[in-house]
Amino acid sequence: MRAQLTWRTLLSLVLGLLLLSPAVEAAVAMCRCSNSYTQLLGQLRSQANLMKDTSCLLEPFIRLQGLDTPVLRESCMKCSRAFPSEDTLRGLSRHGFLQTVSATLNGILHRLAALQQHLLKGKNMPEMQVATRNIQGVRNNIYCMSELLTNCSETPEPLLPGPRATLMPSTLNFFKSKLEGCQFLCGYHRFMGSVGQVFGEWGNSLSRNRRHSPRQALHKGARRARPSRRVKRPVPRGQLFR
Amino acid sequence: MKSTVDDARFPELSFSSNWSPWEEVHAHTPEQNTDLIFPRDKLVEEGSNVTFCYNSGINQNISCYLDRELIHGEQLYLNIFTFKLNNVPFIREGGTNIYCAVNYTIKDGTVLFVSKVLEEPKDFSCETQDFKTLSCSWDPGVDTGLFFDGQPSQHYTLFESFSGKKKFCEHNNQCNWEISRDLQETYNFTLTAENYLRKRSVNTIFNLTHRVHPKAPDSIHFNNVGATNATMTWKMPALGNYSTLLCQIELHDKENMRQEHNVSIKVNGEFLFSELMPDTAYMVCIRCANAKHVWKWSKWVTRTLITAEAAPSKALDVWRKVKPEKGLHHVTLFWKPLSKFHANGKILFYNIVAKDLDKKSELKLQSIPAPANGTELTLDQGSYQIQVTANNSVGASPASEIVISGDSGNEEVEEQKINGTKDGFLISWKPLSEDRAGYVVDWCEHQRNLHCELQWKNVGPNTTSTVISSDAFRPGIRYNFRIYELSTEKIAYLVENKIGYTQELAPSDSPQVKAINVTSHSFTLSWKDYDTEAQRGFIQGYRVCLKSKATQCHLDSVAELLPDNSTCCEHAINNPKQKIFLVENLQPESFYEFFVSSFTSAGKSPIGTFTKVTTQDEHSHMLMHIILPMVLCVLLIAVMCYWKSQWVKEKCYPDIPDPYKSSILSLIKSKESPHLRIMNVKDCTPDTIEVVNKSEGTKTQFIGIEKPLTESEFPKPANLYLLPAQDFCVPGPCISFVNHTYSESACDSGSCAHTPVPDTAPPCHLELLASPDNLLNTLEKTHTDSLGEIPAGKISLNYVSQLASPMSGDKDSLLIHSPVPVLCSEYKMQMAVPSCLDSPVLSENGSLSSMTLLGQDKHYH
Repeated sequence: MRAQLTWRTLLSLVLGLLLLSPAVEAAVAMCRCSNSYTQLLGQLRSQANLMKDTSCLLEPFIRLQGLDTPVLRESCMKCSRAFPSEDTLRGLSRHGFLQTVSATLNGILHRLAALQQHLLKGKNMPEMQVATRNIQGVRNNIYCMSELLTNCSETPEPLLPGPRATLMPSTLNFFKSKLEGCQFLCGYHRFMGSVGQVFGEWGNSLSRNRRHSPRQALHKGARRARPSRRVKRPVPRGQLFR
Repeated sequence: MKSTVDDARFPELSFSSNWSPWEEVHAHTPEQNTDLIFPRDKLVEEGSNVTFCYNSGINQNISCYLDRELIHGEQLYLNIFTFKLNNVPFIREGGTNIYCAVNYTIKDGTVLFVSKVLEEPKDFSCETQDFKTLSCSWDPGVDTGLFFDGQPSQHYTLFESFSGKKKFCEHNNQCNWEISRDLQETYNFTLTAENYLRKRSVNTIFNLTHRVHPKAPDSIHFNNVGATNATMTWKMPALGNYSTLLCQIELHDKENMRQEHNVSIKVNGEFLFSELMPDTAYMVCIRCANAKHVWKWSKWVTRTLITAEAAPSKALDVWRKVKPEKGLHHVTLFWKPLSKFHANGKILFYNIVAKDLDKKSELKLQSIPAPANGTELTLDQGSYQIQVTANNSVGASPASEIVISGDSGNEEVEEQKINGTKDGFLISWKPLSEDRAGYVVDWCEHQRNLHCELQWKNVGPNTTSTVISSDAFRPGIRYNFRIYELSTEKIAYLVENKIGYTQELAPSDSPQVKAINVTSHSFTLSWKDYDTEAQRGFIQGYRVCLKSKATQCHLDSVAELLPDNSTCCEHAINNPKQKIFLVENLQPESFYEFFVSSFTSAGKSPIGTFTKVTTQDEHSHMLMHIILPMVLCVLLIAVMCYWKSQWVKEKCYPDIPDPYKSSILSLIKSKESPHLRIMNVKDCTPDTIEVVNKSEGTKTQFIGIEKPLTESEFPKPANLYLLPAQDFCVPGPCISFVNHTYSESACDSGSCAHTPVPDTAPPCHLELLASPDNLLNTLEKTHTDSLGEIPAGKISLNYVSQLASPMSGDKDSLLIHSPVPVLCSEYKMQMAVPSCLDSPVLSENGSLSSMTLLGQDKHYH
């Protein structure tokens, strides 16, 4: 009898943990996905436009780290180039675009966690928490949009090498870490601006936008013809997060 | 370099060695093209002096900053600079940025982490609530933690020297220490705060029993709760029998603390409250501390205690108003609700018992549910003793008695005016008798309202004056105070009646005045209905303001300036009972305006609209004396004439009906019968009437009855022999042509040979008419009705021709055919006969009436 109770307790515990896990979260998100392309696109546009605002994260970080001087601010605004440029994003198919954005956001989440630990020593920065939740929200919507596109027989393209490798901040000295963090957040806001821009170019109807843009077709054709040009892409995927 | 001995167990042994001598070390000189700032990520305490060294490499025009501030260094070599920072402040947890740049391009930088100075813990103390755990707490002061791995927040360590135990505290302001089972009596604690840069310690030593801070009492209950006492029990948690506790108990009512008690207990406590008030909610607070050494009291615990109800403890204050009416006493009883102090619970109802003192047996019982404050009784005019009690769930209050005698309510005393003040009325009176139980002064709080909210005040038997004050008293309101003397039998006798105002005001309105008896030189003003009782002060008199064209006022009046800057002559009336005023010495046919205002001690009533009066012409009254009687006489004569006109007309010139104007004519025309026409007397050859004097009983014979006569058969002229009728009124020989239609007497006599029309023939019914007018009216009516109701073809109303008097008719024929002189002949009446009667009419006795029937060409004789 007691053994039965123990097993039941363990089972409940495991189920509870499963329910809390990200996988289950994704599954739940999938179940809750909207079938409305317009609604999803509208949400993604709104989220991207919201997250491109530097007052949401960069400015609080600058103030907290004492970087709010003309010289240091100048250095901060040299945004990190570890993010795909707007042209690059525009050149991707819609599937490719969504997967690239999702992967980049995943890298951003890791980087934010590292910043929190290294530069803030775990102390609470509310704006960081909000940004993290927003990024997760965008990723959920991207997931849903990908599902919607897949159901509409848009063939998913293989994801280009993601931006997740070697993305930890420099540990050489604290000052450099501050500047890098600052430039990273600048790049993050700019990236979200680009994402919003590309989402803005998506048509409001799912059927009329099977192809991304003439530029994308040109880009694809060029890529097939000259694979070596991948090296010359504006933001090589392997260099997304240094 | 120096060494330090630091062991918390032996703080007295802590010491540091001297610094070692300097040693020179040769290092590599930095390359000229490499930017380098040193030291990197340095941690110092606030107020420290720091020197930075910077290798600018090949860069020229380097600028270095401390946050926003440009700092200037000392150039040691061509490309080596030193920056000395003295007394560096704490700026932020993220550190102070020191960096060098060329044209806004950062070459290198570092972060100087400046920590706040670690403070010594304050208010360090330890205590136990259960003899199992010591809880130590302190005020940590500022947090010295930075965003830097090398300087987290300071941590705290607790060391007890007797046991030699040490504990790292999880929190920065409190730490728990487990008490050993052997109950170590004395503890010596050292609390050490430490960060990367500094260490601070404080110490405390104490006896465990002196640091007992009991938990709040629990399991508090009230047992055996009565009206005046209750028992409270409680428990002290977790202390066991290690020490004796002192518990403090406070009893509060809504306003104040009523009782305070100290009780010593071990674990369970019990206390008996006494001298409590019935039906009262108390707040009971209890806290406890170690009895031997009060370190800290436990928290207060509060509970509510509600005592039980008890019977009301005081008799009601009762008063009455008696109104005699039709041999009965309408008694209105009033009582004041008992205070909570005396009610001892919720009053549920009031019992009223009326005992007839004359019969001594009759009881009338009423139960009035609360919250009433009065009731009405109707009693006969005997003497009654009324007892009123208030009842709650436990019992009744002592009875309050009052006696209504047969004379109650009939007392009349003269009203006396008194002057009140803002503070009230001072009322004094003279006693009626020596043997008295006291006095009662009553009054209505809202005098002008229909509902008198009766108030009363009880005064002792030896007092003959009192001050009546109330917040409800208002200026301009008349209050009526009646003073009663209460006999020892509880009978109330009216002593005095006083009226007054707390403050008199000017009257709010003026009398409604009428001008009467207007003559050429005077008129009278009257304001009979002016209600002086309702005014806002005692009316002292009136002012009559008279406006006229005259520039000067009469001697008995004074000129008064009015608000519209006009003037009037004001006559003063200083008798408030005078409500009539004669305005005289006026000019005839002159225009006057007047206004009457009343006044009190506070002023006059407001000026309203003036009433206009014009005096009469001087001779008009003479004319009236002559013309009015004349007019009356003429009118009288006219009325008399009119009244007798019918009589005169009938006597002097009766109306002769004109057939052509008869309504029958229209009927005939409407039928358009060629056989129907109007017979003109002049056109007819009168029948010859032979008048025969014959004895009574002779019957009139009817010739050719039921035989229609043709033109040829009809005798021209035919002679009708008319014998005296049976009911002939003139006893002598008389020539009479009787038209029975008009002869009521004949019909009344019963002997008239008139038409015996059966009642059962409505269409044929024709009433006898008293006058020709009525006949005509009836005819018209019949005609009208016939038009409306009867088919035209069935209408057959025959008109009976006029029969002229022998004296005034066709003399020739009468003279010719009269065989004998006519002794008396008179004009008789005419009749109208409906066509339905065109059958021979036989009287009861078989005699025939003479008549001529027209219509349908049937003539009967």
